[in-house]
Amino acid sequence: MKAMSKFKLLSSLEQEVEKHLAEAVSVFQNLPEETLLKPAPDGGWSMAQCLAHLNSYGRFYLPAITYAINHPAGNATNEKFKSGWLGNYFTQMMQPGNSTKKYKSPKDHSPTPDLDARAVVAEFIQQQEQLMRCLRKAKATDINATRVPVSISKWIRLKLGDTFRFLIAHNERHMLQAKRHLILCPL
Amino acid sequence: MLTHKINRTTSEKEKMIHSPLADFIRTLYPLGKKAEQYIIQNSFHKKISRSKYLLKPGEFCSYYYYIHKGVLRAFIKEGKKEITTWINPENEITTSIRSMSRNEPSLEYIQALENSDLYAMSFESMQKMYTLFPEMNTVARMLLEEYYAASEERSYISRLPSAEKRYSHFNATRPELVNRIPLKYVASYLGMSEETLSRLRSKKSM
Repeated sequence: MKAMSKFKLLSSLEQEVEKHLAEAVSVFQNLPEETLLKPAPDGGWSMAQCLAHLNSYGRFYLPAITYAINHPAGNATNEKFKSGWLGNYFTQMMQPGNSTKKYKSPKDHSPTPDLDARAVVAEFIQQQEQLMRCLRKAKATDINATRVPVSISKWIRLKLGDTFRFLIAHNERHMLQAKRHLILCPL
Repeated sequence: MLTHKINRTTSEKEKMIHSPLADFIRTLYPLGKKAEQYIIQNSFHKKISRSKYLLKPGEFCSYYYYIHKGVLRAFIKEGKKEITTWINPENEITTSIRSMSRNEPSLEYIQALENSDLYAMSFESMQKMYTLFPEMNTVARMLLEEYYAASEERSYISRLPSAEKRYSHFNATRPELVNRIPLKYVASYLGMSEETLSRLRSKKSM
């Protein structure tokens, strides 16, 4: 990925989060609990499990991102962003277009099927609102020099811009999974 | 800062040859060419993105806002809790009524719940319009009647003794909102917890 304007990147990510929020509000929060909890026809995750999986990452990344924004590095006036090789690799891995490869989720991010579906959707909405606030605050942060640790190791730290890209690409991946499932589910 | 800040660009003002605010008023009462011109010249477009604030407590609001697209809500803070006092979707006019009628600062936050398009006109321009175009007094009266009824509706809903009754009243009168705004705001408007609201909703769908 070539260097790009951070404002361009942040506003396109904000649009993506806006889309996820709108879908959660217009579709998922109004589905009956039974529909949300129904396992996928191929035995995969229910819609509630998809969202709970995303919530489990949000619980780690949203506080980590907030901390990073409050303890920034570099120069806030830096308007350029260039993806790091690892950040770019992680984001590419999540892109639904680039790979349909299945990844096994770590155990602590694999939700059990017996969820409070409504609470899961409500938390997802809450987290997306928070993520949007972070994206807006990041406009006044050097997203190239400020770094956030990844969930699997505190020694690996991605650029803040890459953390946003990776997290939102991961959200998109599982929103698509949940929506695929919805099409197959008779309401 | 006491006065409410507005982002306004002259190019935007020049571009506006047609006003959604004028269109809205026309649905209530016939609008003359001159009055329409006046509205076009004295109102401006304002975009506000999701979850941003139009107004905060302590600020004076000196504008009427016509909601052309989107949803706004008002709330007050009680400790850490937010109590939603109204939720208005498009085709409504909104403002801080205290600022307008009593010249007192707002007690409420006004926040966008969707990316919204507003058209604003200052109280001052509105006052002038009443003198220049007396028929606008009729429009103002019609709107006030409408909003007084809406206010009565809100005080009615808040006095209903059970959460179930408040919810079923809401469901009968404004069911479309649940497709547009997060349920936590509906719960806070109806004075109940999110858990109670979701319990009532699943009961209803059975």
